[in-house]
Amino acid sequence: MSTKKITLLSSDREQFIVDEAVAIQSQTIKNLIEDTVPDEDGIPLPVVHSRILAKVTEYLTKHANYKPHNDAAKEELKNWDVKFLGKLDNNTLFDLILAANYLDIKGLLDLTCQAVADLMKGMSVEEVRKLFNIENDFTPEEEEAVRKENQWAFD
Amino acid sequence: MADEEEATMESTRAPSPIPDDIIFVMVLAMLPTKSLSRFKCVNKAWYGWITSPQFAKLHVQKQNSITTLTEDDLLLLTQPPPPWGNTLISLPLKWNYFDENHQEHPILQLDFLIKGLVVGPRILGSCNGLLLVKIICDDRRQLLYIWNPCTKDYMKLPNPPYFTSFVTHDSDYVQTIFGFGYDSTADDYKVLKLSTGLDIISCSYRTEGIIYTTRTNTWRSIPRIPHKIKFHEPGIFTVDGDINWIGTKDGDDQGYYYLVWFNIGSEEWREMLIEPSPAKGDVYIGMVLGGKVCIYHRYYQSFREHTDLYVLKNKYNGGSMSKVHGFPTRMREYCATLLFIRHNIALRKSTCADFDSLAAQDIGYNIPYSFVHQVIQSRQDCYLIWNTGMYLRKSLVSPRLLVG
Repeated sequence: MSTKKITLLSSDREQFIVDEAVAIQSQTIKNLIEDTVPDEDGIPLPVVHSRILAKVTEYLTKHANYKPHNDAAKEELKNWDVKFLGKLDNNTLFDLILAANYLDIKGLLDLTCQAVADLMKGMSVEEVRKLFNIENDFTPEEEEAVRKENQWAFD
Repeated sequence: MADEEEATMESTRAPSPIPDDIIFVMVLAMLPTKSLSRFKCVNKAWYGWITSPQFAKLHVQKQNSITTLTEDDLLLLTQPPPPWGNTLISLPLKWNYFDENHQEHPILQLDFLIKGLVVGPRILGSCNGLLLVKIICDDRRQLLYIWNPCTKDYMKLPNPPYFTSFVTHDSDYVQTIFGFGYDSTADDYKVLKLSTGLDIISCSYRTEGIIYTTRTNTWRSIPRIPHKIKFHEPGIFTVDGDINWIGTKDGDDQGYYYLVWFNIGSEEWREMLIEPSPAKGDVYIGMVLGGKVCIYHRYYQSFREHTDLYVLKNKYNGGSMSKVHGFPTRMREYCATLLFIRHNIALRKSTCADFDSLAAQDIGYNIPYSFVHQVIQSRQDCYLIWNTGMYLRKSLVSPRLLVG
């Protein structure tokens, strides 16, 4: 069976050539292949930077070529995922979430969201606000009341 | 050079904002209850979302799909009546037992409900982080509550009607079990009450059942079930939308047992003869192993008590029992009760001569026999006397908001 190649084009117009089977794990790319006439240079993905697309294709390539049939193989793939996440800084992780969401890759979205949840788990309220750049709209009295109500969670 | 500069810029810039719907739906649902309770303080939008019933539902769904133990997994042990107090011991199951700096096990007070009137609260069921609690007042009235021990929120159920066809309602002559489950298609929590009592007309034992649903907030009767309840604590388990228990039939007293199950959604019951029928000893329904109902068989041989564990397979397709494990029992040890299993963890209560102990065993992965055993024994003063144990994974579901 010959493998059809697909060229993906990042927002900074870098080309990524991957097997079709790898690319169509993204529902968005699958739809784009089916519904649009391909650009000469490849399928344009205007919101995904090459730096992120490199990570996405790394993930997709691993997961397309690796269909776990037993527990040991599943375990190996899990370990690969852990290593893959371990190499990312927060900014890249956030960008990957956005890319996984845009490209509609459920596995990658679940994985990266879980990573953010793990990151947040032990954080203080202030750290979470900083992480997501969230403005606190409670008055000091209101915040104190909510804090008191949930005191056990702060110990 | 230009690449390097770009890379530096990339790593120092502010992170791209993640849309709220991804954070709210995908990320927050994966957090444990403790983090979530703290993050109610982040801002008003977070407070509103984390305390909403929609989020509680989503969170339960996500957490139920996790098959390993989490920090929200607790074992709750009820203690007998005063002087020990009406307390629940809450024992985290995901625990680093070798860490000497671990915190004390929190003790949850059950007297939040009715001060001073409580005679031995019983936990009858556990579902989605909620407990079904029975409290007996000193005028012998029984009150039922649905309680979330994590949010401390509770609601009182209307009193179940009496079964008028029974000769007496004295608990010495009527055996009663309760089942507690969730119908996910209708988003409805249901409580099943089954009683085997002496029928006024036929003067033989028969079983009556009624069901309570949070949607209607009332009790109603269910189709007659022809099995007598084989009573033991807790005796009833909810798995995959079915409430399961062990029953016997009239004329089948030669040791034939049936697994009977009641579907929470359709409210229909079905039965399966447990084969081969054990020639000696007793049969108990115990727990859930990898999402399947388990039955254990307890018997004496060579002055020792043995416990064999069977998993029910293909329940909806004929059904068969397969033996998965035998539990070793020490000399002079008796009354080993398997409490429950989830995620391949079995907990076993046993009484050895003059003390109770609790042992945990990981059937799937052979975790050392003693991991909970140790903890319980180190706190003999207050932990060893307990009536029932129940597994709970904490949630944010609010009992008050279940009834419309």
